[in-house]
Amino acid sequence: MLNTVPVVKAISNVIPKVLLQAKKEVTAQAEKKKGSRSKMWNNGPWDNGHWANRK
Amino acid sequence: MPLSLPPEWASFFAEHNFFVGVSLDGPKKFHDQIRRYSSGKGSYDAVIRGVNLLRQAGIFNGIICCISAVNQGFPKELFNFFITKNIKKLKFARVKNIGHCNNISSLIISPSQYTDFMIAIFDLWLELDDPEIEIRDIKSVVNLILGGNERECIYMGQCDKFITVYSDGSIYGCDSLPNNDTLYFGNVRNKPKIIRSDSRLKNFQKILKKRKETCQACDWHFICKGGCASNCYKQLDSSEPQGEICENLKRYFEHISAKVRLYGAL
Repeated sequence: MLNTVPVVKAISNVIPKVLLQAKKEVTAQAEKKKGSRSKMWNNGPWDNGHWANRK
Repeated sequence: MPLSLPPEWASFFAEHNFFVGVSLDGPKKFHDQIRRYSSGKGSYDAVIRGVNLLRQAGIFNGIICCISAVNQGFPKELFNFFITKNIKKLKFARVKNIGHCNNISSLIISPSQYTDFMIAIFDLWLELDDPEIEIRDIKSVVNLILGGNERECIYMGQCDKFITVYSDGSIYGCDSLPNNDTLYFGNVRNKPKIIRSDSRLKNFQKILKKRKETCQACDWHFICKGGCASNCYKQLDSSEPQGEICENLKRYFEHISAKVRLYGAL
C-alpha cells in the first residue's frame, strides 16, 4: 500500500512559507467575508485595523 | 516623526494609542545623503534612537524607506540592512516630484528603476522566506493575486477617501497629491456635511470615476483599480493613464504572479 504522507510533505515543502501564510490569510479573509460584515467595514477604509489605515 | 523624538513624546503616543512609522532610507551612508538637518549633518543616528524609543514603548509601526537615485541600485544591501536591524515591517516608496519640495531632481527615479528595485526585493523576500517580514506593497499584491482583498491604499481606487489635514486645519486631498486649490476641500472647523458636498471634492470624485471606466478593460484592474491618483495619470484632471507607469506596474504584477504560479501557490 502506498504511503501518501511523504508525498504531501514534499509538496508542502516546495511552496515557500511566505506564500503559504499568504494563502492562509486569503482563506481567513474569505471566511470572514462569508460571515456577517460589520457595519464599520461597510463605512469604508477607516475601520480599526484596516490595512489602509496604516499609511 | 520628528527627527529627534523626545522620550516624553514616545510616552504620549503610547498613552494615546498612536502607532508611529518612521522614515529611514537604509544604512547611514544612504540615509545621511538624503535626510539631513539644515546644518548638513545627517539624521541617521537620531532616527535610530527614535526607533529604539518607539520599540521600548511598544508603538513602533515599521519603516517607510524612500527609494531614490542614491539607494535604488542596492536592493540587497537595503533588504539585509533592515533584516539585520530586526526591522521586518517595511514600506518602500518611489521618490518623485509632486511639488511639495524643491530641489529633489537629482534624487528622482523612473517608474522602471523603481520596478526593478521592487522586483529584486520581492525575489529576496521569497528567497529568505521569513513569514515575519511584511513588505506592504508585496503583501498586498500577493494577497490580491491569490484572490484576497487586502488592499494597500494605492490599490483601493478610493483616493477621494484619503485626506491630509494641515496644521491650520485646512483639508486637502491625500498627501501624495499636490496641495493646490483644486484639492482644497475645506477646514476641520467646517461641518462634515459641507466638506462632503464641496464642489472641488465632487469634481475630484468625478475624475476618479472616469479613470475607473478607462482602466476597467485592463487584465490587472483587479489589483490596481486604476492606481494611485497622484501617479498613474498624465495630469490631475486627466483620465488618460501614464503609459510608463502602467507598463511597469504590469511588469511587476506579472513577475509576482509568475512566481506565485511557479511555486504552485495559485
